[in-house]
Amino acid sequence: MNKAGKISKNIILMVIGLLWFVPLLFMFEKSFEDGGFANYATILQQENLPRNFLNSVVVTGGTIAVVLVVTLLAGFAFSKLKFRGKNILYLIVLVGLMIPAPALIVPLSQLIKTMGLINNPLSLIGIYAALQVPFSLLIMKNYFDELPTELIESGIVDGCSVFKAFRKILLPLCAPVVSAVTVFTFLAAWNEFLLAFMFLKKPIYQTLTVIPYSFTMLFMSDLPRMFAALTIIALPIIILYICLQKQFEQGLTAGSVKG
Amino acid sequence: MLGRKRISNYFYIVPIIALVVLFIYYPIAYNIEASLYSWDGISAEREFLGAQNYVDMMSDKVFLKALANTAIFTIVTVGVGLVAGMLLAVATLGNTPIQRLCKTLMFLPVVLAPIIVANIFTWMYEMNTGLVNEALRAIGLGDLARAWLGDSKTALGAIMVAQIWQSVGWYLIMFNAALTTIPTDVLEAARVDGANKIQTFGRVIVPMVKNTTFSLIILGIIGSFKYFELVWATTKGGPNHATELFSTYIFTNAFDFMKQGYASAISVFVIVLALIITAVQLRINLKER
Repeated sequence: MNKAGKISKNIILMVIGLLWFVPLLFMFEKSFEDGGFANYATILQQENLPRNFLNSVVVTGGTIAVVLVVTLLAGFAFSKLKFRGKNILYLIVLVGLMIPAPALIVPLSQLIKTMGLINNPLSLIGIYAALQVPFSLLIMKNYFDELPTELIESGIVDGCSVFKAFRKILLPLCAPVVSAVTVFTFLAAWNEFLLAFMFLKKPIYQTLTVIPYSFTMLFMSDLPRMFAALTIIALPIIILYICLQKQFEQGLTAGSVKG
Repeated sequence: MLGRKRISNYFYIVPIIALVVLFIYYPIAYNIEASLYSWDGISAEREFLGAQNYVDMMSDKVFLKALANTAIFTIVTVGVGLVAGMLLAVATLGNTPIQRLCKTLMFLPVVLAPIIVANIFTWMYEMNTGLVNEALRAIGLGDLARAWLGDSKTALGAIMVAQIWQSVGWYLIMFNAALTTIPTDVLEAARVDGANKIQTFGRVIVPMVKNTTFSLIILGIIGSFKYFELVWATTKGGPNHATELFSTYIFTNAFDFMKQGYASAISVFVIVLALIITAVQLRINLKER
């Protein structure tokens, strides 16, 4: 490409990139209007905020743990073991991928109510995990398919049980796929709103995503503080992304390239 | 040996099957059953209706509006995402600082909670202090200023813009990853054969990322059936149902109108539709291969 072409292409890319940044700038800028940092102080003094943060951490951490354990086991089994009904069982899990969560809110709300789990953040872990496992299984199975079967067979010849061979030989090789599944499970659980909003009614039990909604009610006429709240909620994930950019991008693209 | 079928092999899949049965298949079965009744979700009594909820659905103007809106929303946001994502992926394929910066800035919204995006855009579109209207006034187009989300002519478009803002970075990263798998000698060969940039793009790059494109279409459509936050946190489906989607209409029926049987019927419809669309796409995909 000639020099003028290169420069104009770079200018176009810069303009698009900056344009994309405008809504976030708008959020930062609004959050400092009137009170400046005092807006942030007000929000940070909200008594429930640390608890809300902790709720998000627990729910997200729990979801990631459940998804990883469940899909590592199943991905291994669907890839390397033989059992009757394997294909149909695999299909049963994968169909879950096509089911949109909003189409499940009526039964899930009744289920959570019957089980007496309203206002219990832990109730979200099972549901989030169930919604995430189909896609995670797809990625896990693809990954195990790439690992040579001889690896584990040699372990079994040496006298290991199947489970021990899986744990000692294959599991240590799973770091890349574990990090991929962790990334998109993290994003899905941390950012989820609909179910959290439906099941967590008391402020103290809520996760972070539900907070902007209650703050909107609280600070209706106090926009800058609302934006300070948004910024505080957005910042951890922005910082995390910037620090772990490579892991985020590799994790999110892990599933699709193979198609 | 691994080749043996043993009962203990099922232990590895019991947890995953239990999870999807309890939280996905049981709810689907519940929806199917509940859709045959009229029920407010609370009282002990419910009235059997047979297929009446489904019959009502077909003549429910708001439901049909939600169907049309979801279709428009899906086609536009996935379509723009694919085209813009692919073009930008090609444009940022090298790893110069500017290309990296552009990628990072465009990907930032992808990691944000949709509810945060909803709040930002609510106030960007606001009539008096919103950035969009301020910008229009600044360049002398103040006549165009309006409450973008409050006007039934512009509300759906405004929400689609916000969704595109949030998702293009995702398409960009996906195509970027796919493009890096194209061997450089293929592109070199195209250049040697005298193909110009547009020919290379259309005849080499696009066909080579076909599988990624298929996956993105499926994931994009499934994703837009789930879309809820921005609409609900801004317009609640209004004004006059101009932004009503499946998700918001299910929510409103179930928890505001207390028509849970009807909400379940809509849910069943949405699930069946999602399965049909995916099945058709997979068929097309398999045929093309």
